[in-house]
Amino acid sequence: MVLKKIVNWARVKSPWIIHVNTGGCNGCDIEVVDVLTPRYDVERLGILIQGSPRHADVLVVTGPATQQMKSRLKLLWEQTPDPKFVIAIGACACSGGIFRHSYIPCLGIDTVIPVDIYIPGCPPKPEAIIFGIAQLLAKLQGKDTPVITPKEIDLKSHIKDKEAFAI
Amino acid sequence: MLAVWAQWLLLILGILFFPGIGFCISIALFDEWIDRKFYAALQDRIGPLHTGFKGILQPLADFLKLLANEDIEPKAADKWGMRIVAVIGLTIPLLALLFVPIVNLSGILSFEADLLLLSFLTTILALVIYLAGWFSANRLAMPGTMRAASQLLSYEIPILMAMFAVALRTESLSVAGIVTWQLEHHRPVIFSLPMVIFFLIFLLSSQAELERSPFDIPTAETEIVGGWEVEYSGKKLAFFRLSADLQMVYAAGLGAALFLGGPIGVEMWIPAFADWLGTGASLAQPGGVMWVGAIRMAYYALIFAIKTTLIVLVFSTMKALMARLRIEQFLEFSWKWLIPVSLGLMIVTFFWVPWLDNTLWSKFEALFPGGAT
Ligand code: SF4
Repeated sequence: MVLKKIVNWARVKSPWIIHVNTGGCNGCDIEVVDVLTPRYDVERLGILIQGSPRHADVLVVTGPATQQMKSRLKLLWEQTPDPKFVIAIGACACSGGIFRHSYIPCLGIDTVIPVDIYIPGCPPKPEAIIFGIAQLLAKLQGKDTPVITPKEIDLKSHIKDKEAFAI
Repeated sequence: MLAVWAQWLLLILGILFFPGIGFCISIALFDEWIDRKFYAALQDRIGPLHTGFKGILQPLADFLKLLANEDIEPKAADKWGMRIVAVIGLTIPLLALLFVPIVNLSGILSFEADLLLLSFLTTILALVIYLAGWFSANRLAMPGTMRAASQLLSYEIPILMAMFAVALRTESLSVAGIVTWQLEHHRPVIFSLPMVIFFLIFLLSSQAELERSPFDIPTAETEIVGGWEVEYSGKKLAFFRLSADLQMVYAAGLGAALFLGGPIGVEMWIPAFADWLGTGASLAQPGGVMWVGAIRMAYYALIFAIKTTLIVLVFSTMKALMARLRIEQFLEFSWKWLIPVSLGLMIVTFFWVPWLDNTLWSKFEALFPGGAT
């Protein structure tokens, strides 16, 4: 029991992601990169981006499941070690988005692999992506609300050039 | 006097817990946290924050999670080879760390000419990494393996040069002898002129041996997705990551011992303090005062931790400041610059240093309160 608790704690504290683009327009990918860079910095939550699916726990998928990527997405999912989770980012990955009614049907990625968290938006804001990740971590802990309680930050104390902002 | 069985018991406890495996692993995880935090700060990020106090438990959480993950072994891979290599990759830095002085002037294990054994262990480590890539039979692991082999072998030589230059300077082939020399001469090795450059060479080639940016060509995440460790998951990846942290501590600890005086702190210049510390009890000297011995252990461990952490900060600054090189630029840098320079400095050390010692340094030494040696 104690061991299970420790393992669960470790799992919640260090979700490593791999980013897969299955054929989106690159809008969502920019937002995912945004989340990893200094302004939003999800390394605070222990999230690291990995190159190989063998090292990752969470597949972060952007874009619809195109014909070409279907088999490859499945392969990537199979290569990820258990326990693995999938986050669908953007309207495309959730349902097909603007590609849904095109001449070649591209549906959401849940037609190929099981999805844990859907983050809608075209593209979703970085805040929305972080909220989705927090939802996933809450799900791992068996709660339905995110784990992290937000802190109030006095933004005024962070302004360096005070005169430029003086009203 | 302690009984023989009690001495053996203390030695085994030492190897398992305090200056040995347990202490080394915890300081390795601590240094990874320092590294990640400092790296993040240099990039204007925050780094790990929500795991323990300011994210201090983050490396532990990563390690435990990887241990609990599924362990995938590809069909084409050499399964037993992969398992054995992962375990050996963890054991070698641990074994090497037992020779690094942490709570004493010598390591837990030490003998005459253990510097030779340490150089042998670093070479074996390169071989282990090569085999790790080879056994996983992956077409992305192969280029990583080849790069790792050429990189590790070409940067091994400057490291060995630096190690043996220090040996030449202090006329001792054991780490304990080198540390004692620094205590007796009231100065760390780095204070003699060619050794400063050797210290820089040591840091640079250690960075290359540790496969950290700008020398992270073998594990380049953005081009060959992790290089030689691409097929490793679960427990084996956890072992390799811990091994990388331990190697970092080992490189920093060895650099501290060879160039900065190891666990010796201010008592280098205060002989009375050094004499007082010398009365403490230890395994080598069981007749001493017990509580002085305990204080000395804690003091030395603290100084060791401070020095290694400072060197790790230098490593992470290098990692943050520079971009990845191309493989041939990188090998060129080793064979055309580092190795000739260190060879030349070796000759300088051999001929010039005795003169420096006898004429120049003896004048300078009178300035120290420690007096002449
Ligand atoms: S959801 Fe919108 S932004 Fe994202 S990949 Fe699809 S079309 Fe592009």
